[in-house]
Amino acid sequence: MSDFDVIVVGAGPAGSAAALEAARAGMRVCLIERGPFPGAKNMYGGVVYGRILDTLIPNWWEEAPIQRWITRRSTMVLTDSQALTIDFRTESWGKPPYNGATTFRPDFDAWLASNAEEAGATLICSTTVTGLLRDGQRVTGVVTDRPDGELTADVVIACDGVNSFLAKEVGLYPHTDPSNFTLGVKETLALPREVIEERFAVRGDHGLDIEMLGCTGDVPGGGFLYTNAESVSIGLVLSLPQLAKGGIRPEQRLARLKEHPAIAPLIEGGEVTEYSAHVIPEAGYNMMPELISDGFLVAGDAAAMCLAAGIWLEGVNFAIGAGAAAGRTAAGAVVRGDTTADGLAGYRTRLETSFVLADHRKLRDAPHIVMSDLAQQKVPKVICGMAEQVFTVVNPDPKPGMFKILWSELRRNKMGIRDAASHGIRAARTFR
Amino acid sequence: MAETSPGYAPNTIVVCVKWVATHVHIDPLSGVVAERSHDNQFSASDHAAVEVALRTARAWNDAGSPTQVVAVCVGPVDSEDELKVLIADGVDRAIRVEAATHYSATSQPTSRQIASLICAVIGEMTSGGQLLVVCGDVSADRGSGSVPAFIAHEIGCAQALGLVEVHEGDPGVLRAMRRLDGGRREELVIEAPAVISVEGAVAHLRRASLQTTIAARSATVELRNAREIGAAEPAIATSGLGDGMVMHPWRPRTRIVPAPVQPDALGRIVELTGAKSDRVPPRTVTLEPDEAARAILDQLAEWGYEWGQDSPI
Repeated sequence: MSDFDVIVVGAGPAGSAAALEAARAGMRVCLIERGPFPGAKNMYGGVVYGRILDTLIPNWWEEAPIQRWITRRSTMVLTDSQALTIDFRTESWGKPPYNGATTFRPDFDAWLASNAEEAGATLICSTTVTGLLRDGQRVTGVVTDRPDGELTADVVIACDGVNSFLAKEVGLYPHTDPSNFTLGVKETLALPREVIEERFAVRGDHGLDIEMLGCTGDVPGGGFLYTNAESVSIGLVLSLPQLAKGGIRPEQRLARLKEHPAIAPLIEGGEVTEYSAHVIPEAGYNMMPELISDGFLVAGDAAAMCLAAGIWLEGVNFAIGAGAAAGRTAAGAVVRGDTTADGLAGYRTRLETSFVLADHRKLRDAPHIVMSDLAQQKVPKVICGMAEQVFTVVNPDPKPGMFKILWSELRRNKMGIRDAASHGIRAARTFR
Repeated sequence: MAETSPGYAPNTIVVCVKWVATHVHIDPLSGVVAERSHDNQFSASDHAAVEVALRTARAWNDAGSPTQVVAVCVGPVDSEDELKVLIADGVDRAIRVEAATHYSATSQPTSRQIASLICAVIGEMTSGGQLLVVCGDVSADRGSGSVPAFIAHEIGCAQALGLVEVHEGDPGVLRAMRRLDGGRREELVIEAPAVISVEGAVAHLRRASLQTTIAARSATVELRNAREIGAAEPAIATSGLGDGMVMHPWRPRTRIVPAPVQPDALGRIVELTGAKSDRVPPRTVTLEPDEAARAILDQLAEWGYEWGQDSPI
């Protein structure tokens, strides 16, 4: 008999959701976390979309450690000296059941893991899983860095984050392409609550999420700025290979963003309380590994389930959705007594019928479109150039027509009409 | 071998551990001090104390003298997870004393009050064997390290504080090295009952096996309430201070020194330091504490230090 029915490696959102669902199904679950507490090593400072939590923790918003509920969502297109912002706000996102929220992951992950513990999972911290126990091709447990550190289970769920060593050990990642990854760098800047409310036009526990394009210089990527209760998180997501070639360190690029005339007034006077960096699996569906092996499932960032699709930047909700599906699948397989790859095949079916793989498959081209040279270098200049021409009063000359403005900006930025059209069609197909 | 002291059996080694903020967050804008529960843990010296206790217990047990190790923490419920880690490491029992007082970076019970609570717990373990109390010498929050001394005073036993080496001997006996001023060391033979405190470098806490770690997750941390064990509820040492304020040691104000008049740099330094001036030679006085404090203040005043109405003196 195995030590546990299910071992979950990593107490992030995916791991805790997996442990929660498996424990609720009556499984003996061990949740292993390498940090001293869940969320200990985390640098995340983004937006968590909690709809997936509705099915796991009713009225989760009453107990989750939330910084601000996002009621404003802005998309900002930048050039070196220009900025065009599309801003949306709705009060409906500021009341139950809410939409998205900023949170500090050390708090959020610890809270989610505590729910798994309450459901009966055994949480073991400060313990690193260094390898897998195998019986032929079948995964039968884990090896940890503790003395006598082997533990057996019918199913191991790897939620060990981006660059999953466990998934690689099983052979689910045949090769790793650096171009599928980005580096996220972030600073947390302390600002008084009243300053945040004034600058970002929010009140109480409402907040703003700004996503940026065109702010990363010659390296493909994007930027973000999120409001927390008494701080803001500002950062960049940068293509890993191009960042390495560029010769400019990520913190220098972030410093340039902070000096941008559209950003500097928003963060003026903010004191840096944290700087951190983390690799992000950016390519989504196209870089996903096989998700199932004998006695083994993989979920969350370990399975590249972060959605980076331009206007949608989501990860935690996908991780929770995948983790919960993995936990349910593992429990069902253990009950049936079939934890082979075939017995666990329901995991992929669950993901395909949920938003997790449905969205990823639908938006599989989005990362390439967003990270293309056209979208990164030319589109922001064309958009901002058009905006400047449209809003510049040229009296005594008459106002130029829109097509004339578009044409002149396309020419000025050496963007062929054919390129623009093909890119637009590709984007339309992806986001339709 | 030390004589068996009445009242404790089997031998009991009590390890006192303090739940302390290892990182204190100071709001850079407002100066408000805050701490997050995740940042609290036991200090390195407390971990060393646990390891010393476990090694000593093993040696005494191997010598045929049954010994149990009991970890005691006066702290909040958050500390229980770490107490379970100590159980996984080999501690036989873990006791948390709930003082119902809010502990934070800005408000804590005094050392005497903590010691009183710990002694009340020790008082429960009365039946005939040796008693040894092991503490970390200084906690990570710049503690004074005075709790062990208060415990020793209350129990009425020997104390050996600030140890840099500990070697377990026959049951009831330890051999230890104590740090003295001027880089000197003092070798001690410590006989139970005794209270010792150790520096963090004395021992590195062992890493528990996976199986014991898992088993300890379902272990019970015994709970004692300050009122139920008959100890006085600790007051907050820094009561009266507002949020974001902490107590600092008093320092005399800067005294005003006339500007030097010598034309060259060396001359100005000589003049400022008074190196070639007549001076009152050092003197040794033997006084009662009150008189000594008054003499110190008088001397400071004579040297030109001044303090106003807001001075605590």
